[in-house]
Order: sequence, then structure tokens, then C-alpha cells
Amino acid sequence: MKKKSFSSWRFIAPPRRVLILLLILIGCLHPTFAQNTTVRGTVKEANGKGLGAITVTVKGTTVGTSTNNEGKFSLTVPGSKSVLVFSSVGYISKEITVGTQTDVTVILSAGNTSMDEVVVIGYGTQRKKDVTGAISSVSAKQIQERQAVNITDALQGQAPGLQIAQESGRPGAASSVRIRGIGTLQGGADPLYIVDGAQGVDINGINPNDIESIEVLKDAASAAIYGSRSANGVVIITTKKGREGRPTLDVRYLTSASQLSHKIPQSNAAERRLLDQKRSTNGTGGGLNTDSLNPSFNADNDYQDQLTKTAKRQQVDLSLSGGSPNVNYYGSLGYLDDEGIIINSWAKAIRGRFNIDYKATPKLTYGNRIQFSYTSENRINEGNTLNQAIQRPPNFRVFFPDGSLATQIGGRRNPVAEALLRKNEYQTLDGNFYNYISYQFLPELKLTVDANVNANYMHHLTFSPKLLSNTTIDNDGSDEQQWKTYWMTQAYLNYNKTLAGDHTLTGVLGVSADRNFQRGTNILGTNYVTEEVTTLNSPQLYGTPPNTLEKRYTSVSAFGRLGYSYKGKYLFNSNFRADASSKFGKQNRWGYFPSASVGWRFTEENFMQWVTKYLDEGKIRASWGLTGNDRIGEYDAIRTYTFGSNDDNPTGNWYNGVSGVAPSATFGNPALSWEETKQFNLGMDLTFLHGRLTITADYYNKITDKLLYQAPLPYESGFEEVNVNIGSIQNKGFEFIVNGYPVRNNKFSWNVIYNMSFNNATIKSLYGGVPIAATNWITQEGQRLGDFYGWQALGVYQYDESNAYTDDWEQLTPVFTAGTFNGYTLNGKAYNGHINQLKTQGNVLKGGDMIWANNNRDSVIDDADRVPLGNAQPKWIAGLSNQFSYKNFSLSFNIYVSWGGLLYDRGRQQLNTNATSNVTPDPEYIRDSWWHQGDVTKWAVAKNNGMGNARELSSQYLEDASFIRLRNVRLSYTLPQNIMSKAKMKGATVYLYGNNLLTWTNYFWYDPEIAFNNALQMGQDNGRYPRKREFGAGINLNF
Amino acid sequence: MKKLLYYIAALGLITSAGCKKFLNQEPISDLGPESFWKSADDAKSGVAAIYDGVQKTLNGNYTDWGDARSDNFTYGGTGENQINVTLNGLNSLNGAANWSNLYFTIGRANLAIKYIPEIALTSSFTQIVRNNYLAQAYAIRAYMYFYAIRLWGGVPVRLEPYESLTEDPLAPRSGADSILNNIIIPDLVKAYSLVDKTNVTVWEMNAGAILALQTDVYMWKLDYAKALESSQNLINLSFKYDVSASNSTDWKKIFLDPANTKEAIWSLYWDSHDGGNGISKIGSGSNTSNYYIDSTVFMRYESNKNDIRRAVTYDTALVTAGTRIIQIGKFYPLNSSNKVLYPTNALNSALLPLYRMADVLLLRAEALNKTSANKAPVFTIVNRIRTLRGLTPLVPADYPTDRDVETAVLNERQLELFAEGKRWFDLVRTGRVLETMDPLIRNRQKLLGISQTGFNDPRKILWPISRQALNRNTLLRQNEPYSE
Repeated sequence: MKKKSFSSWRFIAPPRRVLILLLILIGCLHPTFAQNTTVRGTVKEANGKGLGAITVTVKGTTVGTSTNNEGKFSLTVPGSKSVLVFSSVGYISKEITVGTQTDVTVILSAGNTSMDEVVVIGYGTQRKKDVTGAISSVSAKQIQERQAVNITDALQGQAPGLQIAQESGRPGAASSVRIRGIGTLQGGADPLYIVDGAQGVDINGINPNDIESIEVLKDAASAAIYGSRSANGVVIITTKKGREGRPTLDVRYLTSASQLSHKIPQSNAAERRLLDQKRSTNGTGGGLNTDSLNPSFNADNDYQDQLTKTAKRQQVDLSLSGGSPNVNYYGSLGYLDDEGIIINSWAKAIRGRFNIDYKATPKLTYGNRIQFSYTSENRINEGNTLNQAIQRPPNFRVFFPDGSLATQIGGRRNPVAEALLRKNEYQTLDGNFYNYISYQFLPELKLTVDANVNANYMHHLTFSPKLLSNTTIDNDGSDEQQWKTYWMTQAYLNYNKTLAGDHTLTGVLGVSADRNFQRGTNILGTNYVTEEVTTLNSPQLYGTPPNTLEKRYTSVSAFGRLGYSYKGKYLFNSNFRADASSKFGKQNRWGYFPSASVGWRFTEENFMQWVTKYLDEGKIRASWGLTGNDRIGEYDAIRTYTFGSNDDNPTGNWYNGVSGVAPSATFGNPALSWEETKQFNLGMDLTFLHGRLTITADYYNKITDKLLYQAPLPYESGFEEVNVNIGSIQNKGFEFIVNGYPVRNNKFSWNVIYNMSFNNATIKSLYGGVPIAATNWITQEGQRLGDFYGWQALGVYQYDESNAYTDDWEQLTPVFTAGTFNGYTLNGKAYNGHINQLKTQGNVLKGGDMIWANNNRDSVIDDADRVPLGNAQPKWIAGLSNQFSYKNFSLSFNIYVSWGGLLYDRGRQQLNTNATSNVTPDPEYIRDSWWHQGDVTKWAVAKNNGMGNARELSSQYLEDASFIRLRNVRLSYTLPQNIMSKAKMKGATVYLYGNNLLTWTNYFWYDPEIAFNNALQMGQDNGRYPRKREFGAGINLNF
Repeated sequence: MKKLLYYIAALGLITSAGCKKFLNQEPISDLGPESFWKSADDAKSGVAAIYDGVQKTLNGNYTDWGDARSDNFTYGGTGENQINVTLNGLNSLNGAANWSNLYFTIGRANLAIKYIPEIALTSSFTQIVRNNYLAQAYAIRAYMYFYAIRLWGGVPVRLEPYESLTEDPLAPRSGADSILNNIIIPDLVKAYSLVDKTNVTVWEMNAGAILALQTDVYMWKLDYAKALESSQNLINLSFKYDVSASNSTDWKKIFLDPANTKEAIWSLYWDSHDGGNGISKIGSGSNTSNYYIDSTVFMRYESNKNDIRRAVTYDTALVTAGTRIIQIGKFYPLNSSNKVLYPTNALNSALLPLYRMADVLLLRAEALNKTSANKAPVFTIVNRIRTLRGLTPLVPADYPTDRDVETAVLNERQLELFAEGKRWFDLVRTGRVLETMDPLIRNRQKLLGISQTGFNDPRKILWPISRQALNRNTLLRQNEPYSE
């Protein structure tokens, strides 16, 4: 035992030091145990109406409560000297010394003093006034304006520094969420989500209507309390709690209709005939079907019409909440039925929540947060439906004359049959159980012990019937199941004390441990005995052997925070965390993550009082911190031998009935350790004109070192890659948010919020300096992340003779006299020198072939001529929201902008390769592609002549990804109070809304908004499921 | 206060004590390196992984490396890669230029060579069994290096497993001759000395396969005396491999049931566990193939309809109907009405013949032609095979020069071993690439309406080194004239 604790001494030493420090402090203070008294009271508006949801705290302690709907509260305070602080969003906070009073009445006046808001930070809360890091908050009200289906949908464009993009427009699609750029290559770039203090909660299982507030911790000083998992930033979600008073029942219903926002140009049958003519050798259309009576070939389908529909969405939510002095509860149940605009695509979700806080004794509180969700979804394969629809010749049949669905024709799939008959169903059941007990030892000291357990079951069934196969006699399917469990337990102390009025001390000290386990099974089958049954007892042949996989990781942590404020003027906060993870090599398990931040509220200084006429509040903040990332594979630090089927090697290493055992192609590196992100943040918070205008601006410099990624190894070693943590990325940026009320009076108010973020990610260093070349990208030292890599298209050779260059590779202009070639000119002068020709793929380029930039100035266009072609990162993103209120009416709209950056339009590129005769290019390509000698065009000859005219990546298909989007509009009307009281209701609101109404962009394909999932492969659009344009209406009733 | 301190201290102590154990998470579904190469079963599964490496290496490349660039095939179907391969337009981005799987196989063989000798012997894991596993590892390593030098010339050499990052993984290319003389031949000699001569399993690198590979290697080295010696050793083996099929059914057995014919020496096993194999490139359930049979070889089959190999190689009913042949059916079973059952790509489990007796005998004929003025033994071999396969014997008088005789042997090899990954290497070995391919490529260029530049550059007989490999190993230099 002794030996053991000795060996772990150095691991726990730093937190223990903090503990000792804190205990000494507690010891020094000799807190006096004053007699507890209970204070009751009412908080009112100036007009005498009771104010609900006002936070009441005992100043300098963690003791607090909030008022019920009538504005009443009751609180046990330590003594007559206690000072009560009343605060809430939209009201100027007030402080009252209890004295002998046992019943107080407080009147709060309205004002947009957002500085008095309380924000949730890790393991505690803080007044916005006292915040020294970069934290953005999004309130329930902002979320409510959105009619969002999930949290990420609700957050887009709401906070500076937060870049959210949906993967596609299909119902149930996930989004990429990036806080201040991407600071990792393969280590997982999603932020850490903390839901009501717990990690590991499935955020897709949260109903946006249940959210009270969302805080985004962006800088390292704020996030470092979550140490090893916080390098990508932290999103803290707080769900609603019940309030003291009579139960409140909320009923919400909405319905909407959505359509494809726009179609992309697609060739019709006449254009297809022109293509066949251009492709035929004699120019008349050799293979052209001229049989006008052939029912299979005389159609002219609009596949985009046939494949899409008006999609309906229905959502109903019920919530019940309330409380008594000792208990409060909030329960909700919601049902969402969301159809996709592609036929037969849908997602349904049931989401429930139950939150309870129970005050067993004045000191002991117990609470839980229970969340469950069940989602089911039919995920349409875009490649087999939408892409096939765009590529398929318009004259191919969709239905046979007898009304049955047509099979594949000429190697092209029937998109309608694919959408209707291919099964790709997901079912996910997720449950999350969080419990806590907190004990208030002293007015200033509280211990919280909690445990969170998450269980998640996913089932994925696929089936493709015979009709869809190219042989029409084969069917196949699969059944995949995944079971995940996660638990985490935490214990921490909160300390909060004001000394002699001027010195405020806060502290947190705690430990935590967690474990994650995952089990997956996948079975594939073919040759089903009947297509009516698609469970995996039906196949008569099981191709690849079943695949079962289990993984587990664990981690332990100790953490602490120390905060000090002098007269609320000089602020200091420091976090420290030590983490150990099973994912790393035995010698490198522990990572230490310190941070510190300072703030100066200069408007509190006497010599600054002259500004207070305009400036109510001014604060300058600076912070520095170190955060970590451990999101790599469970066993990346271990060299493994693998066998059987797994994700990297689906067919295993079988030979002649023996399952071969071979080293994994990725070399496990026992030296693997934490990825570390250092971030410096400089920020400013200003509040002008009695809260009518607030500005927050931040500059940051974030450097990630010891990058975790799979670096390429020479194949000759017998391995493909090695897990390393070497290399560095820098993200630098500036962001700000302006919140103002241009007009605000009793009847009319107009609120504008504008936020804008600039970020640039560059590579500082890589393993061995070796660039990482993915097919269409290059990631190299000194360059930006997301550089496209390929050939620069300069046009199309007009004549065969146009492929002529001087010895310096300057292109010559051929001269034709009466249609006959008659020498060359260079810059207008006759040229009689030596003539060079460019070759590619072993052959000489001719009229109609692409002209490529000959960057290495040799006679061949090949992969050595590839250059970086531009970058996928947007220059800036911005969100503008407006809210107008007039009497009972309210109108809001929200604009989202992403500016700059390129997007690879691969959907279009795949149309125009000419590689497959039945893939039909877009109409512009068909009309304008080179046909005869002398044609001037940018589109190469519409034939596959093996000359690499459609090579990937060509600069021709890199398009500007900038867009401005009217993201949502909402018009609501709140029924007057007098009508309500007659109907025995507390309130009712009806509204109309629209989402994704207008987009301004020059992008050719459906949608320029693209998820940034993979740092090494940014900005490629393979022809994603288009985003829908939605119109809807809803009603909210409160009883 | 004291109580609280005590509680916290206790909590801290429990956490720190349990911490180390809690943090040690070993893989659940994989093995750590210290748990492998311990038992006879490990030797078996470790060697199976080497064969799996051969499968992954030859999946698709069997055709691309051995046939697609020769006069056996021309481009077909869709896509540009096949045009580049068949028109000598290779570049370092071609998938088949990537040698990753070849070196992964060598890496697995190196592990087996290092660790199998350390596995303790038991009553069932005898010296013979252990040596036989080692023999397979050595011979397959030689087989992989033999592919490498024929495709790229000199390549980097690694004979030890890579097991620590402190070791420099970079190595420059060694010369092709040096690899041939110092690695391939010694490995094969060693393998033959270790191999269990009684093992005749057709799916394994058995004694016959080692000798067949030796014959092939010596032919490549143009060491005909040694080639004759190796092939004679093969003929002398007690199992008595020989050619025998004189009807289509028997000949087809070489491809469908090689374990039950003495014509097959080493075939690559394949079943649904392994996923589809790349032979789909020349014929599968899909509506198109990457490569179509070239008209010159097609006409040679058509010129003699009695050849039992003709109807097995492709569907002759289509020829009668005037349809172009786009699928090669020789590797697939027939249905009751004698139609080839092409599997879907994902379920293609053709058993790829790697060495068989007709191959070795014809190599022997080629060596005999080179070493002796007496051509009778050459024609004895060629005509024996021709007679069996339903053709009339050749008359030696029609082949006056050594070169004519060689042509006769190569022609027979082409028909006998069509699509079995041999033809390209035959052309390279005998120095016939340019004369054979130049006119064909010119014709293909004409059909595509592009400039008729022909084969263009003899240096392009070698493949380019893949860009991926060049990026990863900075000591590598590209083959001229491909771009660095």
C-alpha cells in the first residue's frame, strides 16, 4: 500500500498542493458560525408584477435560489450581515443587506445589463462581470427563435468564433462544430459537451426546447478546467429547472412544409442527343436511338422532380415544471417527425427529460438529470439517388409500362427505385442518468459528488433487393449493432468567500474518473431466401465473416480553480488540471494543464469616472492557458496484431480457412502523449448607454503542438503509417459581437445582434517535414490548412496546332490562311524557331484537350505539375440577428454569412469526365464543349480519349464557396393577457416561420455550406443531400 | 473540518491506488506483440497472413502487372486508367504503381523468419513442420522481390521486421541484379533446403512451387543451365507433376479444382472470406470489364477452333453471334447449359494459378532452345502440349532460326497461359516489348483519335514508382523518364 501510494505521489502531487493551499486558506479564515435565519421575500417589477426566475444569492457564497412565477422566494442565510444579490437577464441587479428583516420586497428595474448575467463555467457559475476568459452565451430565447431540430441547428451563427455547418440536408444529419478553427489533424476536432455538469451525454438526444442556456468556452483559460478534452473548446449546456410555485404546463406544436430550394441545371433529351452526336466519329450520332416508338427511350424525365417532394415536419412538445421550497422538477416529452425532401427519407425522434432538485435538509441537496431519446431514420444514399439522378440520361425509363419500377439500364441506377427500395435504417436508443449530491458544509464551502451513466444502443440495417442490382438476381444486406456505455464520477469542492468587503476568493477542487466501453457487431449477407424478411436469418450466404469489436478507455483527473477579485475591479482566475488517459503510452499518461487569466474593470476606477456618462461597464481581459486533446484510438500507443474483420481491413487476413494474424498497418507508438494547445486571448467587454449597446471583442493566438496524427511511413517498413505526436498548427483570429437596441420603448423595441469571426489556420511543422498528400489536398509546413492540390486548367487547345511552345514553354499562336495552317506567331510576330509540344499520359495533346499549367517546365504534364490551387477555409463568418417587438407582435430574422474559401464541386466534375458513356454532363458542358478545330471554349472535348482532361483535381471545378443566407424568419403574436385569463391560461403564442429562405451564392451545385469534418480533406462536395427551404407555423400554450 | 479533511484524504488515496490498474487498458479484440509467436497455432496463422499478403498484392495487379500492358488485352469499358495502362501512358498516380501491399507481405514474411525459429518444438510441432513454415516465408519473400525487380528494377531491401521507431525506416533502392543474386536466389535455395518435400498442397508454396519459381527466376537471369537444372528437379519430384488435360473439362479443372490435377503446382486460394478478387477486371457479373481481349490473340484462338482452350477462355457462342468478347470466363464455373457463371465483383473468388506444369515445361523449352543447336527437345515439349490441347504438332522445319523457335514457344505460352499474369514478363524477358507493342499501341491511338506516338520509350518498360512511395521515402529516385 505504502509503495503504491509512493509511486503515485508524483501524479497527485500538484493537485494535492492546491488542496493543501486551499485548506490552509480555510484554516486561516476562521469562519464564524453565525445563526442561520430564513428570509422570505418577493421580487417585483416597478409596476408591481411579480418577477419569476430571478436569481437570489447570498453574496460571497454559493448559497442561492431563484424566485417562482409570482416572484416569491425563501432562502436560509448565515446571518444578519448577509447581503442578498438579486439578478436576472434584462434587469439591473440589486444588493440588500438582510439585517433583521425576514420578509423583504425588492423592486428591480429593467435594463439590458448583460454584465449582471450569470454564466455557467466549469464546476460553477460566475457573474459575467467577473469573467476573465472568452465565453459566449446563448439564451433560451435566442434558441426559441429558431424552431431548431437539434442543438447545433440552434447554435449556428449565434456566437462569434463558432463555426457550424450541417453535413447535408437530410433529416437527422449531423453537423460539424468548430470553435476557433481546427487545431488538430486527426485527433478529433469536436468541442467537449458538458450537459448539466456531465460529460458523455448524447447532445442529439436533447430537445432544444429544454435548454435554459448554452455557454461556449473558447479560450484556454476558461476551458482548461476540463484539461485534456478541452483543446477544441467546451460547450456547456444547461437544461431547464422547475421553479417554485404552481405547476406550469407548456404545450408546443409546429408543422411545416419544405421543398428543394433550387434545382441544378440538368440536360434534357435533346441535349443528350447533341452529346451523342458530338461523341460519334462521323458527327451524326452513331449510337443514337432513333426509334421514337421505343417506350424505354423516348422519355424526357425531370429526375430532380421525380426524386424530391414537399416534405412535412410535425413536432409536438409537452413540458411540466414546478416546485416547492424544497423540491423543483422539470419534465418534458417531445415527438418530432421530420421528412426529407428526397422521397422516402425521414427521421423520427422521441426525446424526454426529467430534472429534479431536492433539498433534503438546508445543507443537503440531491438532484438528477435523466434524459432519454429514441430516434429512427431512413438514410438515403445520395450517391445512389441524387447523383445517379443528375447523371442518368434523361431518356431512360423510371417505370416500365406496367407501372413497375425499372431496373438498372446501361449501368445507370434508377434513382426513384433506389430511394424507394433500398433500406438504410438507423435506430438509436440513448439514455443518460445523472445524479448528484451536494452538501453545504459552511456557507462558503460546498461539496458535490456526482455520477453520470450513459448507455447507447444503435442498430443499422441495410438491404438492397434484386431489382437494384446490376444482375437483377442478387440481393444483399447487413445488420450492424453498436452498444456503448460510459460512466463518469466526480467529486469537487466549491469555495466562495468575501473578506472585508473588498477581497473575494473563489475556489474549486476536485477529482474525477471515467470509463468508456464500446462493442460493435456487423454481419453481411447475400442471396436472401425471401425479400420480405430482411433480418439476418434470411440470407443464404454470409460473405465476409461477422465482425465484432470491443474497445475500452479510462481516464482519471484532478482539477482546481482559484479566483480572486479585489473590489470587483481587479480580477484573477487560475485553473489547473492533471489528467491521465489509458490511450497513451505507459510512461506518458499524465498531462498537466495550467491556465491563468486577469481582468480589469477600468470603469470602476475613480479616474475613469468621466467616461461613465456613456460607458457603463468596461473590462479588459487577458488569458493564457494550456489545453489538451486525447481523442485518438483506444490502442494507438500499442503495436497490435490484428485478425478477423475490422473497419480498416473488412476482409481480415484469411487464407484457405485460416484467419491470418498480421501486424496492424498502423504502427503503434508507445511514446504517444497528449496533444497540447496553448492559447493566448486578449478581450474587451464594453457596455454603453445604460445597456443599450454592448460590445465584446477578442483576439486569440492558438498554437497546437505535439499534433496527434497518423504520419505516413515508408511502405518498405511493412507499415502504412505511424501514430505520432509531432508537429504544430497555429490558429489566429479575431472575433466580436455587438448587441444593441436602436429603438427601445414601451411599445416598440428593435434588437440587433451582429457577430463576426476571422480565423486562419496554418501548419507550423510536421513529422519529419513530410507533407501529407491526400488525393486532392496537400498539407505542408508553412502553408494554410486546407490547401487544394492539383493541376491548373488554363483552357482548351483551340486547334491541334495550338499545342506549340517555344523552348521557354511560351505558347505559340497558330496562323491559318484560308483554313490552312500557315506557321506560328509569338506576341504578334512570326515565329520560326524550334517548336515543342506538350505530352501527357504518354501522348501529345491536341485540339479539344485541356491546357494545363506546365509548372515544372518539362515536356510532360504529369503529377509533378501539381501545385496548390487555393484554400478551403473561409476568410470570415458572420451572423446577424434582428428582433422587432411591437405590442404583442414580434418579428425576428437571422442572416448567416460565410465568406471566402473554395469548394471542390465534385458532383459537377463527376458529371463531366466522359468516362462512362451513360453519365450525362451538365447542359453547359454539352453545348459548349470543344467539337471542331478552332472552337474557343473552356470545356474539353466530350470524349474519353485517355488524355486526362477530367483529371482530379482540376482548378476548373474549384468554386467560390461564399454565401449569404437568410437563415430564418419568425413572426409571432402573443395573445393578450385578458383573453388568456378568461381561458384560464398563462399565455399563448402563435407564430409563422421560415428557414433557409434565400441564399446568395455563385456556387453551381446545390449548396455551398459544407461541414469541416476532416482537417486534411476540407471542402469537397460530392453532391450532398440539398438543404431544404422550410415554411411553417406553430403554437405555444402555457397553462 | 477534520472529518472533511479525512474524507478527502481517503478519497484521494483510494483514487491514486486504484488509478494505475484502472488506467492499464489492453486491447480487447486485438493482440499485443508480446502475446504472439508463441505456439504452433501462431506459426500457422502468422504464415496464413503472408499468403493473405500475396492475395492483397495480386488482387487486381495479377492482371495489371502481368497481362494488361501486353498484347493480350486492350482497354475496354469505362474509365481512363485502362487507357493509360494499355497505351503505355503510365504515371506515378496509377494505382498499380503502388507497391505497398508487396512490402506489407515482405514485412509479414520477415516477422515469420525472425520469430518462427523461437517457437518451442512439441510432439506435433516438429522440426519438419517448423522448417516447412520457414521455407514458405523465405520463398514468398523471394517471390515478392522477384515481382518487384521485374516491375520497377531496383527497389529498397528490407530483410528484418521493422519493430522500433528508433530504427531509420528509410532505405535507398538496391540494384535489381544484386537483389536477384543476393536475396531472391539465396532465399529460394534456403527455402528448398527447409521445405517439407512431401507437402504437395496446391495452395501453399510447396517444393514444386519453389522449383517452378526458381526456374522462372533463372530464366529472368538468362541463366539457362540453372533453369534447366531447376525444372529437371521439379520433373523429378516424387509427386510427378505433368501436363495431361486433353479435353476442355480436364483443362478447366486447373482453374476450378487445382487440388485434383497434377498440372497445377501453386494456385492462390480464394473464397468469400477474402472479398472479391481483382480478376473481375477481365470479366465479372458487372456489365463491363476494364480490359478486353486484344484482337491479335483473339484471332490466333479463332484460327484453330479445335483448341480445347478456346472455348474455356471465352464464350464462343458470342463469337458465332458476332458479339465482341469483353469477358474472360476461364476462371469461373459453368452452369448446366455450359454458360459461364460470372460472379459479382464483391464475390469474385477465382482461384488464381501462379505456377503450373505447362508454364514450367514451356520455360524449359525456351531454355533448351537457348542452350542447344538441337531443337528436337524443344519441339517435343511444345508439340506434346499442342497435341494434348487439340492442335496439330508444329513442324520444326518451319522454324529455321533460334528466334523463330523462341517465337513458337512464346506463342504456345500465350495461348496456354492467357490472362494468367505471364505474357508481359515473357515479352520483357525475351526483349520483345517494343516490336510487339509499338504497332498495337499506334493502332489504339488511331482509334482514339490521338497522336500516334507508339510505345515511344523503351525505358517505360519499367513501371513508375508511385508518388505515395516517393513522398514517404525521400531516398527513392524515380525511374527515368517518369517525372521525379
